[in-house]
Amino acid sequence: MSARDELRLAVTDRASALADHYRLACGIRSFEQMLLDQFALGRVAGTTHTCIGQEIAAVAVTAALDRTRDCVFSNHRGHGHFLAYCGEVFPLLAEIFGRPDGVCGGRGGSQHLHLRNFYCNGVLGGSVGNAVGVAFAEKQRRDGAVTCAWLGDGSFGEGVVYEAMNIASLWRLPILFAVEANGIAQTTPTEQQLAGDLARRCGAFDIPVEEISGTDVMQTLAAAARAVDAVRAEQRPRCLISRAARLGPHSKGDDTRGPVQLQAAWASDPLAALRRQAGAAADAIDRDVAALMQETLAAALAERPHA
Amino acid sequence: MSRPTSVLASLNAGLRAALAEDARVIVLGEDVLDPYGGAFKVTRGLSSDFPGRVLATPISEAGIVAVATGMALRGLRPVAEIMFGDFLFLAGDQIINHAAKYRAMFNQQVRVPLVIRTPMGGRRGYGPTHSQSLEKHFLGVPGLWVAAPHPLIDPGALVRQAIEIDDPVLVIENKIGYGEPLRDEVAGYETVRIADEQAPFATIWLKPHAPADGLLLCYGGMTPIALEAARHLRERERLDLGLVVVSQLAPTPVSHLDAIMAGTETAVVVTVEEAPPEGGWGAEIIATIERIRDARRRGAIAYRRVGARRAAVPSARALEDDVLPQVGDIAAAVLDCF
Amino acid sequence: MSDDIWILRAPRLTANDDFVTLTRWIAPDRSPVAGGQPIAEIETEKATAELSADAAGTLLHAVPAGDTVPIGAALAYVGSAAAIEAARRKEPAARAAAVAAPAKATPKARALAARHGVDLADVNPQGDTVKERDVARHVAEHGAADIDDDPRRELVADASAHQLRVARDLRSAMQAGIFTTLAYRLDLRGPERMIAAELADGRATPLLAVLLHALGKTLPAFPALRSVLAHGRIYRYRAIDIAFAARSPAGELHAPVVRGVERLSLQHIARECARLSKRAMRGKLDAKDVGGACFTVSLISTPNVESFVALPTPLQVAVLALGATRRELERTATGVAARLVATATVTYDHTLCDGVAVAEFCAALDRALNPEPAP
Repeated sequence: MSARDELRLAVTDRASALADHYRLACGIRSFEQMLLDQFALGRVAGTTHTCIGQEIAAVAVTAALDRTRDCVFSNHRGHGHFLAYCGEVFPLLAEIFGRPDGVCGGRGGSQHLHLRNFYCNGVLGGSVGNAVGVAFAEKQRRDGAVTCAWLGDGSFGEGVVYEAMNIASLWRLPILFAVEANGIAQTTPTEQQLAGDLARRCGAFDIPVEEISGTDVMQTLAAAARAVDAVRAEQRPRCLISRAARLGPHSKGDDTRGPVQLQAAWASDPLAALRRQAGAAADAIDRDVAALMQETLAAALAERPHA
Repeated sequence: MSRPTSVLASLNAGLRAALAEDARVIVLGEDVLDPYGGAFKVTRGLSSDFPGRVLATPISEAGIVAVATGMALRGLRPVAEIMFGDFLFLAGDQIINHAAKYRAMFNQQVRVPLVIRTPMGGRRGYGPTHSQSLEKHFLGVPGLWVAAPHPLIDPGALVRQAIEIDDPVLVIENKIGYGEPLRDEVAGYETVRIADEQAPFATIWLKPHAPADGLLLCYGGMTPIALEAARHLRERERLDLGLVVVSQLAPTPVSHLDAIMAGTETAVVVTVEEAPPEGGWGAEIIATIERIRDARRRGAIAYRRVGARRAAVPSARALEDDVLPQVGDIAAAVLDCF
Repeated sequence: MSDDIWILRAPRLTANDDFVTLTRWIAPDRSPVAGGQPIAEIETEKATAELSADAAGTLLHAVPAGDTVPIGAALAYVGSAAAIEAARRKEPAARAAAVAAPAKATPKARALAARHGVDLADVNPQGDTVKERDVARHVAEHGAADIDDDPRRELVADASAHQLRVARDLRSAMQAGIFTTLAYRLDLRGPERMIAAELADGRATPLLAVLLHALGKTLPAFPALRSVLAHGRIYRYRAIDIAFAARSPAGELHAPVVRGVERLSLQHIARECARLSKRAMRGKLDAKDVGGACFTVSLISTPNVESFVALPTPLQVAVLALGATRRELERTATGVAARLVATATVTYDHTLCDGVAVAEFCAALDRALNPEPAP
């Protein structure tokens, strides 16, 4: 069995091969599915929000960042963002299991993670404002750092998001608003929530926006790289809207979509497409990832260390 | 520059000194730039002398505090101004669920050295949504300090103290208190200053020369009114009261209250606040003092709370005066114990 | 219809009370009243009184029962219906004009005073308001007993305002001077004859009236007995107003005053005594019927009461108490005669007059009662 600090996924960057992106994305998927199983088995208490179906954007956008200096501020559905940023599988699982060797000693849990330059908070919208402040501080430091703020289309119901975008544009801050438009907010479809157009909202603040499919890792990575580079160079915000269906429930058991709708979504699972693109290596990757998750789970279920 | 003589001048000087001595300090808020210098002029002159360090924001209380929180997470020392304390709830989620929680949620890996300054209080006829004292709703939030300057201490030094604390501090100023002259001493009293590691924001204890018949406790904008009530009671009712002016509202400065209880035999304790007392600061002080009294096995104490009536603060001055606590209300509450 | 209205204003009953409470309306609002008809009952800390209308017309209440108003405030209007409405609109509401009578004592002070039977008006506060400690000090100085729970004793009722007032007055009077008593046997043959003569004319005349009539002749020559020493100064009453003790069936003591007895005929005094006694029986004395007397008399006519000592009244130097009349045998030149006598005691303040002066006064009173030489 590996030592706990070896239980991690390899993160990717702009130079990584497709198979490496697949390994990371597959790792995220397996982690999330394993997590839901653990909840179903009653081994974990509390709540969690898995990003099943949305792994591509997490991997691709994060790969476009410079991990030595860039900051990431995520939301309640941040496991994919977190693992794409640092790959720390065991600390994440341990955190959700409430162990003292978790990312935040069991105090933050699934929605409140911090490691190096990664932050997230579970109250919708507020983290976007914090991210703008982070971007300001980094701009002051003049080290060219870019801040990536993750938010979903549901977040655009919160007023503070608009306040944050307004200030970010006004003050010309180096922030990338990475929007995951998965078409649903908890159990409410986006069209019942959002008037007008998502992209035009950014335009209203003079924030250049690019919309991409979010299901093709290379395409998404290229767009993300363009956006990140522009932010870094121009020192002003940009927005990247990726679209990928949330395949899992909002948290656990709260998916009100019908079986036909879900089936259709799963039929176009972008991870399956990425797997095909990964080619012959896919099988071995699957096995490695499965083994890693098994070990991680065993370690998380093992005797707790003294706090 | 001569020593500031008013609360306002002291606050301005304190911010100026903080900006000058610590490059991490950023001041932000609505209309804080010169020549306007802020709705109550607290930031006057600062944007001119510290370009790029004093930021005017849109009217976005939540956004202001959110952005300031992010700045603080990354090592800056932002001082955010919320123009009227009544607007604090617009930033409530940021204060309570973000700024106050990050340090604990992230297992002590981060600090949020954020200061939020805002003026509370009425007595200017500004009406129900511009005259409140809402600080009581932020007391007892884990991770959040609440402090209130007043004329008997150095308000500028209090703000600097708040800036130096590595956690979020809500500084509660008072709209009409800005104009109050500072006083080192009050005739007829010995001034005792209490501050310690557990409760760094100082408490001022004015001890009458005669043995005290009772204790009045207050903070912030009610200080001049409490002083006046004490004078009235001394002259008209021959009652000598000690006056305790607290500047740390949260966490409760238990050590200060303990030191005071050790040094007095008082059997009458009256708290004075501008907000309605229900579920408020006075209740917290009385519960704390009662706990101390019990631990010290002292005799019974008569307690009273003075505060506003349970009503929205009316706009008409006469109606407002009827709702907000006056000298007569303090006197009546004290007399009721005798 | 005349536009004249008559306004009933809160009178000053006593020197120290600046407010009166209207305790009860006797005549209903907007009822017709006649001149002299009682319309309201008022009360201060020291006195109760009934107020009458001085004019006829429709009565309009200006304040509700229970209100406390300052002296001079309008309590009611009497006049034509239109006139009283107009007047009420013009007069600022008595309630608005009145600062609520200041709570001169704290609730704790009141509670302690009640427990010790202390009248708050007796307590000298340190400051504007009577505090518990002021009452405690008063209790300590005056040794009032504390009442605690004792199963051998049961609570009957709260003392009435009148009882407390009487208690306070007695205490205050006792503290004001140094009192002692002289007893004198008064010859009542003269009064006996006078009463018989009046009865023959169809007029029932009480001994009290005869006594008052004689005091009216006697007191002018004894200024010391109509003076009072207060705050280091000697005051003298200008008129001979004499109070007499009257007791209602319920046991309430009153002291109505017959004013200017030196000017009045015996018949007039008798009529006044009757009028005042009747009112006292009902406990309904007018404000002008009480207070300001220079002298008090008290009679107990229960047989075999040889004499009794009356307690002094505040602001008076002496009180005369007459026991039951009795027949005494005495030798005469021609044999034995039985004459009507009674023992009078005069309790007087020795700081202003001594026993010799009082004895002379009693002798002069005896002569005034018996103008013809004894047979």
